[in-house]
Amino acid sequence: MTLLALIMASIALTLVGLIYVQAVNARPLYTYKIELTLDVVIEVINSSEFKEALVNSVIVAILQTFVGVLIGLIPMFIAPIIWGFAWNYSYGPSGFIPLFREFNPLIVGIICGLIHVPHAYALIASGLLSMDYTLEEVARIHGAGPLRTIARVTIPMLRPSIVLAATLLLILGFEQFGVPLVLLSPWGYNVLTTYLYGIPGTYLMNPYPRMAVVAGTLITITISLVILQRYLILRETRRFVTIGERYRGYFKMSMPTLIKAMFTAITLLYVVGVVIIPLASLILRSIQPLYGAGIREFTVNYYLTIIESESYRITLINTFVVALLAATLGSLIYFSYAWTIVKGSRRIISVYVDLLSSMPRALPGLVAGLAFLWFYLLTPLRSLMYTHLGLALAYAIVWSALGVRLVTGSLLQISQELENVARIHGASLTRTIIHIYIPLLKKSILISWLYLFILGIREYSIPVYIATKNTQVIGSTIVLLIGSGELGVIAALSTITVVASLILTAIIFKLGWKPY
Amino acid sequence: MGSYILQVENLSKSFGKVKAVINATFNVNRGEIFSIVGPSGSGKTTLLRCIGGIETPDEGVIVFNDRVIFDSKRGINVPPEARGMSYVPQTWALWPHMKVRDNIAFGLKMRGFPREEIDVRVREISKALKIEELLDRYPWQLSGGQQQRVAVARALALKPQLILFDEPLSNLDAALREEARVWLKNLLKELNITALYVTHDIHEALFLSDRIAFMYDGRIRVIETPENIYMRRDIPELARLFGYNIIKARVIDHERGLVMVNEEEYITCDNPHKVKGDALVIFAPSEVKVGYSGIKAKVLRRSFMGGYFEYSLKLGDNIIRVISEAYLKEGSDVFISTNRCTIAPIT
Repeated sequence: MTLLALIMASIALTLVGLIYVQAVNARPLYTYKIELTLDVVIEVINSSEFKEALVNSVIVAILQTFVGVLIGLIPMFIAPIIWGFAWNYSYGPSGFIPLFREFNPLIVGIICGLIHVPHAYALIASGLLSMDYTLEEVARIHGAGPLRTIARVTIPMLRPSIVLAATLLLILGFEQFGVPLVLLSPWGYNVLTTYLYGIPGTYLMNPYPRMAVVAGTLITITISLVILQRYLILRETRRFVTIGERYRGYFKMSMPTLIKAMFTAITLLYVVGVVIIPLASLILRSIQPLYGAGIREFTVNYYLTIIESESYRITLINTFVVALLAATLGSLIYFSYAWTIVKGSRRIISVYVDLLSSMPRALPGLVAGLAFLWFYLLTPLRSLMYTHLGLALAYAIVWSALGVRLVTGSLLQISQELENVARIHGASLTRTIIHIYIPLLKKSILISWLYLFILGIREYSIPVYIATKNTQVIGSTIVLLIGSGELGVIAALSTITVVASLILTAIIFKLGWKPY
Repeated sequence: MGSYILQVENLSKSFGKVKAVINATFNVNRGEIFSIVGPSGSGKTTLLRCIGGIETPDEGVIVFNDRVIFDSKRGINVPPEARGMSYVPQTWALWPHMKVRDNIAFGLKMRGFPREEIDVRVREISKALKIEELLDRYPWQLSGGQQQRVAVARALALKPQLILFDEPLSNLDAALREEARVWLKNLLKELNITALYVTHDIHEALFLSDRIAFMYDGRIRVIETPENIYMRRDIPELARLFGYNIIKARVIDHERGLVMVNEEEYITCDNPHKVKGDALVIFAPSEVKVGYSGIKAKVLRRSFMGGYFEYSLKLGDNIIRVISEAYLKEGSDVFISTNRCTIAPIT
């Protein structure tokens, strides 16, 4: 267990290292020649495109955070790139409801915020659910009205969750690739991720050092944010230690009707405006022969194209195979991580694994894909690169921050004494895992597996650089198709992913999945 | 040697800078109920877990059933499953995914007993503990008292040489706890089981044990029979567990045990020669006489306990607890004396 965790965590460390090394190396890494130079770093940093992309990244990330944290609700299982199309088809200049005449970083930041509301909602709701309701009851009995209770008791108690949500969205904001690629690039704007993606097209000769500088900037920002997040959370949780057993009753706060109606209206507006209209537009687009409002003709040609073309068929199959492999591989890796973190006897190893497993959190999918490309090219694992397994391994390592938290949470819920009694009563560690842990974790293993599977289906940024002709998946195909004008096919492929994701989401909610 | 089932020598265990157990040394006889008593944080549970093999001691030797199961110098550390003990934790830790029957049978399965024998043993033990009708239920369908019985049944089914108990009764309510105490003692004695029993409740330990080790700040301070430990009033930390009064005083004549407890007021203690100068004086609330002679004290509060009263008295700067059948008015001055008080050094 520990060994597996150590190896996997070390791969993550290598990936980050590769980016930085390439950034200061004038030659491509795969030539195995090192020529240290800061020229590219200085050149890129001084270039106006880079500066502009950096500023735009900051705008998108900050707006996503604010807008996302401010409102709340609905599925987070649809890839941002698909949201990009959905918003373009619904509110774009030639969408069904042409709300925007053009897209710019301000608008896109707000859109990103709106589609990330569920992340914030899920985190804050879990804080709300684990809160001791007697705290609010006492406030009410001691004379505070409902709004005062929310302002003075509930929200301050939720501060750790709010801080967590805000920092998470800030990190996700810098990693944002799909939405800006679809909505900003056509209008001549770049954020760091799309700028990185565009470099090979602009600089045909040895684009790698340049790409590494941009990727390095991105991960420097995200790593700093991850460290900031850890620090803030540590500080917050220290201040909010709950003493004794939590009372888990439900206290329904009576609220004035007007406020209730207001909350309901906001929720409704959000669901209709942010989720239903864009998704409906996307689906409509996939069955319309021409792009634009008011057309009454329908067609299934795009779906037929997908089914009839062998390369699309393979793409669909690949998507499922890679998601399946990644979910399985991921479950195994995260269990070993979680086991080492929670049960490890050597504290130093636990801390190392804990830190490194959370590091991919700072690796935007696109950058991770790039790092994996170099990793595969430079190591004996080269042959893996052309296989589904190689792609799945990349997914599994990049998701580890999330996956480990998923497994650690359920592992922590099992009292240590259940294991102790089994051990003293004659069961070895292996048999304790088989007879006690696995039966008890059955459901949460299934839930996390399905969750990872959904992530696998919607993944689009990791495979951009490492998917080869035979391992292309839906996500990377959509990215490749963007310049081709095959808008109908993109919409149809997106719809397929959305439907698959929603079905699987319904299943895991049914199984009792709780976000965060 | 053979009469000891368990020998612990110089066992120490630290967590970082905190020394949880320091040089613990004791032996447990076959068939004995041996209790380890101490306030929370005294290291008693850590000691128990070291013996069970869940925690690895830093130093020391543990011999169980004439076999060395732990020796830090020789690098011996037998894993918990191979030690041949059984365990009843504070939370009982019944495996929630197994029926009562499977909970009880688990250890037997792990030790490779044939199926028929497992069935016989489960039936035997559940009959003896009157839990036959619970066998096909899951733990969450049981009351607290039933869960506690199942946890004990699970430990007994293995017919172990030693059962480790970690405050097994503390999750029961007061009335049930009294009942379970009697039940558990009868059961262990009838089956002639050796038990190592950790508790913070000195009265529970007095009732159940053949011998008691008192632990404080990681050290075993004294090992005595219940009768003798009750007499040990020279250890303030132990006296506190018994609920005795502990007041500061000054030894005037250590030859005769004469102590000044208040300005110009003296009592005589029964262990002279012990301490000089500033000291602690320890006496039981029930051994204080209230009358017309002795030291002056003020009645602060009277509580009716049914058959007797419990008083808070102010004695100089100290507040003491006194149990008496006499009715005293709150606010009045009274005179108290005691014929059993002990001097202890200030720690």
